[in-house]
Amino acid sequence: MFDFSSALDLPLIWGLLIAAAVFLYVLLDGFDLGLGILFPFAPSDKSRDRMMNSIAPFWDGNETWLVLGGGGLFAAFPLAYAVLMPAFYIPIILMLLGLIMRGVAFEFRFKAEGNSRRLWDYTFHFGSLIAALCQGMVLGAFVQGVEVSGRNFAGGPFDWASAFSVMTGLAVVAGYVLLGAAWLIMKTDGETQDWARKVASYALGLVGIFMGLVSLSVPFLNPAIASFWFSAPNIFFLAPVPLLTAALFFLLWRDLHRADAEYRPFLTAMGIFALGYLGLALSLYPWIVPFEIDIWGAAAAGTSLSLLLVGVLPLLPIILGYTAYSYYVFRGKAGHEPIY
Amino acid sequence: MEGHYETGRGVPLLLFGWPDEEAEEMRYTVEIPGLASLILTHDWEGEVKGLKDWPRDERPPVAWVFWSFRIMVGIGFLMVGIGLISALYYYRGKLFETRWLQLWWMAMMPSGFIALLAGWFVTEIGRQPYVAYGIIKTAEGVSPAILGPQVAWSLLAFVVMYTLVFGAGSFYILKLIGKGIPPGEESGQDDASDYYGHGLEAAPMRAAGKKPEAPHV
Repeated sequence: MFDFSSALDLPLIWGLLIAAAVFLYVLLDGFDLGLGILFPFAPSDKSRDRMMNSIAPFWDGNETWLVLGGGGLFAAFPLAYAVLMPAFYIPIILMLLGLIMRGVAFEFRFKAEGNSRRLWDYTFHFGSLIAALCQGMVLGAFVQGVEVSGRNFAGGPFDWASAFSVMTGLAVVAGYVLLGAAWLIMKTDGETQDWARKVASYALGLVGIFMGLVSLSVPFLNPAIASFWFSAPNIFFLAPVPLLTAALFFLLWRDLHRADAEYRPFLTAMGIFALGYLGLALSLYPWIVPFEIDIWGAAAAGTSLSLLLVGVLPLLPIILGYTAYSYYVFRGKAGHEPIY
Repeated sequence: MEGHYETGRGVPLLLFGWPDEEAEEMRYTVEIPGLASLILTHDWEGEVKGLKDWPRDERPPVAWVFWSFRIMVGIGFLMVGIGLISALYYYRGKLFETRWLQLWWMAMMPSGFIALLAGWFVTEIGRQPYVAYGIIKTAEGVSPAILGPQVAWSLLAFVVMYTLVFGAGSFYILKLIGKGIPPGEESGQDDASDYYGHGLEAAPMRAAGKKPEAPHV
């Protein structure tokens, strides 16, 4: 078998690939989960139909990236998978149940009549909310680190629950709501758009507060993170991350109150997510199980990583290509007629 | 899967039987001579290893695998059969009048689902006691960090969730069937002979306008 490990830093490449997959997942499923959370609060049933139509062609494609991230972690970093999955077993199972709930709501809502539609509206809402909350709590617990002994998770089944992880759970909910509302500004008009602008303004305020809280608390989790951000040369290289974030907040706030800005709020919201994610990724590098196992320690054998790379390299452009194409085909404003 | 305990040549294909795991033998068999050897070795006289070649603790539960496989294959033959017979009746122009055939079609509704499950039973039970065949046993693969209660409640949660989802799904499918084809889309309602003409051409168009009911797993 071929082995590129003498020429390439395969664990680093795979770490970057998985980080990119998880980021794309957060970004893409983020807006449709956020939309789901907002669903029951929409101004009218017609507007709910439009909301659902606006994401119907995309939402299951968005979840591809979760599969790639999870599958990639399993194949490329089996040790990290073996430690992290037991540590986050409960929130991950709950997240999957939430994703199932919202997935079936798509299928059944347009077939239901009368009051039973409300049932699926709320299935969609709670499924999305549970999934978003669990993802945020997993993120928080991951950043805090897990207890490891040898090659196993050594903590209890509820170690993931802490004040910090509850906070990050709410932060992710607020962030997804912002993405979802910005998506709606782009994909709808009239009363739905007006409502989405208002929602996005509130969500932006909450996201600002949560990003501030997370940014202030993460450096105190581990002295290495604090020195990484605040030591002499780094602080100049890294200063653009918070400064750009602040600039994007300002731009988004202004655009939310300008009727002609329809696309930019979504792009700006994605930019805020990208910078937040970059900040976390830089803080945690090179840990894959924070503060216990780094990416080289958790990686599979060089031959496995090489073979996986050969598989994923042609596949990624294909997935990216068809994803981009589907967004292109379904561009423009969404209607309210059932298309599904 | 074949349900043979003894190694031999020219082994028959068992259509039916009653596996007795205590006595290590197959009772009350209905068999086709030599066919199992032919399928497995491409030779009527080929040697097929029996279950007794493996120690007892390396064998999967024989009855489960044996029956699941026969249910899956049996349903497969029923599917092929109904297809061929319906084609025959269609060419004779009697497909839409033959009551017993329609009842058979109705009875076949859940057949794909049952066959699929039976197939999974065959592979998942058939590879026991291994989780990765020949490399690691299921008992050795158990996670040390996820304990019994967690496994139990998550399994229960999935059972409840899938019951609700499949229940709702079946409800909507049956409702859709109960409604029938909306009037106006159907051409020549009074004249059944129309179905054999242009009426059938309209059907794929209708089907193409809808998203297929693919189960999301």
